[in-house]
Amino acid sequence: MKLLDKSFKPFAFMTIILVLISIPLFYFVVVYIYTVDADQSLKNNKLRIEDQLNHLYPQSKTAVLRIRLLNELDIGYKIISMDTFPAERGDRFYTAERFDQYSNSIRPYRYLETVIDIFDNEYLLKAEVDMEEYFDVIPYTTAVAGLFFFFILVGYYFINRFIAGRVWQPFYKTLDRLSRLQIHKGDALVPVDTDIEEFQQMNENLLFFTNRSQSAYNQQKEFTENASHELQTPLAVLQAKSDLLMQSDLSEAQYALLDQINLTIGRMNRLNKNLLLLTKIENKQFIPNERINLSDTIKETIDLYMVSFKERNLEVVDQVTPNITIQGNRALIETLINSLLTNSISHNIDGGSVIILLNEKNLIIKNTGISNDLGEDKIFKRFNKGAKNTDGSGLGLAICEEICNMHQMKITYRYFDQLHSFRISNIVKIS
Amino acid sequence: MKVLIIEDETNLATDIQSYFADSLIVCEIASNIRDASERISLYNYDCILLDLGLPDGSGFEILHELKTLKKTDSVIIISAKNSLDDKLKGLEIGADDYLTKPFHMAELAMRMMAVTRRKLFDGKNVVEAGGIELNLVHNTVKYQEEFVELTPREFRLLRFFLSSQSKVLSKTAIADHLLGDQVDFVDSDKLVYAHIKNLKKKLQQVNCPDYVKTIYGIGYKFSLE
Repeated sequence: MKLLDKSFKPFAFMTIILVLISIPLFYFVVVYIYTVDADQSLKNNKLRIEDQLNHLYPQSKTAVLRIRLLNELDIGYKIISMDTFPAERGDRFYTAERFDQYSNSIRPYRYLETVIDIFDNEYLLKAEVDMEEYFDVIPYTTAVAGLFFFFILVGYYFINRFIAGRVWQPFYKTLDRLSRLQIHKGDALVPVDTDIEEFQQMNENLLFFTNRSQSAYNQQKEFTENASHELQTPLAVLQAKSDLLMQSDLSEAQYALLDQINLTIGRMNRLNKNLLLLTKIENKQFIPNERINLSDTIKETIDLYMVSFKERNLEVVDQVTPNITIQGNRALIETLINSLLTNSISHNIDGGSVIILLNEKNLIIKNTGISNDLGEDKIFKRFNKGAKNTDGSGLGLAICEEICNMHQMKITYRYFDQLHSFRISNIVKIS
Repeated sequence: MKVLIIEDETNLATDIQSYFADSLIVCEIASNIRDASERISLYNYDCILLDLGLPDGSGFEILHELKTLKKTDSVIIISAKNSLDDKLKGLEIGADDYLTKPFHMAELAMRMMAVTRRKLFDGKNVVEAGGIELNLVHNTVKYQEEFVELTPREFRLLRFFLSSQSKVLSKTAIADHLLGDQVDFVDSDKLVYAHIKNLKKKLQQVNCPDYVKTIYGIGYKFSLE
């Protein structure tokens, strides 16, 4: 989740909860207010009617006629003699619905039933107030309130996006620079200029850590290079002693031991060379500016290993499109092809097969082999060794990957149909 | 043949010295630039083995000095750095070859033979041993006036043997020599075996005695005895 969304989410949540609570609350409050209002006006009307009927006419007879008229007019007041409709004294308010013939609909009304005295006779007054108009107001008011809540939400969202976005801008800029920082290429972090104290502090810390990892990276590179070089001389001494010892009259068993020593020196030497090679590729000490006829290079390498193919009874299928020329570093491209081909031989089974395909875009080298899927994600890792690979340095494929990266090519591994398949894609043919 | 080894790792220098002790190669050792430049101003050497990283300076100084002294000593740089820049620089200033540490003594012997052959063989580019003649210019092989057809690798193998006669050559040394950087390969033993078998067969066809002896467990030896 994005930072700004994170701060927006609880606000949006709160607003929606408020809306949900406020709608019924609003409704009840409005209904209550209207009802109190209606009751008050009914009460006033009662007082007025009682007063008017008692004092407007001098005789009770006229008042009775007026009462009849009022009942016949049917304008919301019914005054009924207590003789026909006995009732207790006191005000009774209630809400009820009834059919209204003028509007031709069922409408809500507020009623007041109370007893009034007219010329010392008790009458029951039934007064009503039409609540329809009041109730009509409620949905509109609710809609307006809801709309405002929605505006608040939208408004906050945009304020959040733009104002807050501006406040956080140095943070996002720093983040962007940080994610594009390539320590191994020697990039240094350029801190974003900001007047916000927290960001300044963050910049300082980031600078400290990136610089430290930069120097750690450089030290590691230097260390690898120096260590490899320093190892060469003792290896040379070891080799010289072994060669010297070899000239003395030794038993067969002693020679066999010496042979093992020789092989081990050889392995150490290769490991060392490969480490150096990796470091050099990473240090960009090779310039990919030569024209290389990839087709010829592959053909020559296949020829070079013909003896080995025959030795292991390997069937070689090569479909190499001629004259694919690329731009690159010859020594590295040769190392790449060599490495992949020797892999396909040494990890093969006797009587197996090697398939080499080259077209304008891809180079695919497939071979049968002993082990199963070697895992496409870890096979190019340094010192990752295949199941039966005991003599290799564990760097061959790591070097292949680095060489491909350097030439803007992509190397992938797949195990399919019992074939280990290496594909180099993105080959750019030049004319 | 007189050789000057300029190398600060005395252990390595004395081993080289001992390795060639039974041959006609006489080695002297200098372990720093001062010592080395004194010697090269006083004596002439057939070959100088020059380490680049010396305690009192770079081996390149010796190369410059040889140039100013107008000396014609052959120089082989033996360096721990397998750096193309150093290689090119060395060869430009006047070195004849560049060998990266670690190396096999047989490889060193071969390189020494190659750079000094003019002097050793009186300007002839032919190496001879037990009736086998190797023409290094035309890359041809004759046994008692009869040509032997060899593949380039078999030729290199034979030349390697001839430059280290009576020495035991390990399989790894031979593999390294034949395959160079491509030796990063598990089957090199078999490859060496296959090439030696073929070479022996071809020499046998012209009735050449079997000079290449198998030393069980370790390698091969070219010997006229």
